[in-house]
Amino acid sequence: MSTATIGATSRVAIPLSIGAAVAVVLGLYARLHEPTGVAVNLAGFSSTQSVKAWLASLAFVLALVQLISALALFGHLRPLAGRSWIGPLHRWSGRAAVAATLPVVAHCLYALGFQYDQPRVLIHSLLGCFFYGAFVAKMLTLTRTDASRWLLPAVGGAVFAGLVGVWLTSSLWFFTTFGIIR
Amino acid sequence: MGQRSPLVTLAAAAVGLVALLVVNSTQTTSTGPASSEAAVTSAPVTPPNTARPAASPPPTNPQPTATKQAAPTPTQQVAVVYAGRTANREASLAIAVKGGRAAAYVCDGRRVEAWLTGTRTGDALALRSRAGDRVVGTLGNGQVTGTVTVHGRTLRFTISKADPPAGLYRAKTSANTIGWIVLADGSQVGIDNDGTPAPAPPLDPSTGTSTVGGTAVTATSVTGDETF
Repeated sequence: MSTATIGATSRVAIPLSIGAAVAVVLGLYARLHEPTGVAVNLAGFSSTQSVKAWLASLAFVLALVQLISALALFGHLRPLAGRSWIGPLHRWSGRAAVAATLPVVAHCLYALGFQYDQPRVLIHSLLGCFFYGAFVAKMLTLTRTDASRWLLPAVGGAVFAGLVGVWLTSSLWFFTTFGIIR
Repeated sequence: MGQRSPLVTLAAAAVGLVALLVVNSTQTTSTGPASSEAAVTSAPVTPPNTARPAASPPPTNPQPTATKQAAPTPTQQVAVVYAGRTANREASLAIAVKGGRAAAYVCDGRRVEAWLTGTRTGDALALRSRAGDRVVGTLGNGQVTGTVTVHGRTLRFTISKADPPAGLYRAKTSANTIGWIVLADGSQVGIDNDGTPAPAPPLDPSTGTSTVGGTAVTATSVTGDETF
């Protein structure tokens, strides 16, 4: 009885605590590492910031695909129920979304670091760490067939919410401040 | 659904992130080529317009002491200049704020420079140059804190209010544009750009004059509502 309880608890606790640890480690690295201010720029864009804003926006659009395909996978969208391509679409759009964010987070972590002089910047820094922690927790949850039913939608929702928050506090701010520019 | 594929995704993401961090770290050591590239691309920054007469306003800033403490409201048309170096002393930066408008100059005193104009909304500053360089900052306690992005490099800064003769000066002749930042400790950096940026000759901030190639030029103090 007690071992069953421990097992059930650990099934939830292990992915979540590893995800939390990743978020904390990212935040610590971003805070303790001396920001270099140096950035890799991409041809065709006016600055690193606009590259980041567009990549994050691409991830944001893919995240919307994630939300819709996840709803379909759980059978909440009747027109899409039972379509075999929903699963691969969900997996690959998710991978593409995370891949699109990697250059952005590499620049954030390496060149800028964890900052908190403004509310927007503080929220962005916290959510950035949270997003990758939630992503790790979600990937780990997927590997367990015995995970609680509520866990996968919960961590998936956390990943989505994290990305939307990160996007709102960076790209949307960038585009509203400087205009929609390359 | 394979049990391993999420782990593979996770590992691929981790490897990708580490690889990008390594790529970023190689950029740190290659600042030489990066800045020379910046020097080449900065040539078209020099604006061709001569809409503003270069010599009319006196070089000293009207800065009543009354504005020293009080945060200026957008209706106050008083110029306040902030000047200083970036966090790791890569470059110097001066921002002039007047009402809802702002003008800034970034330069390393050798080859890299940018003239920026923009707006001030409340405590937030957002400026751009014609070449796409950016300054984003927050006003507070007589300081501006923020980041400047010049030719793809993002630098952090915290600069303080600079009282005359410290400030931002600009001279424009038919052939070249010269910018000087005079810091609070009296030191100055500047770039003389005639198509090729080069270190500027010394400026006498008390008279606002300098000698460029044997010719005397008069610099004006940038107040914030200029267009470059």
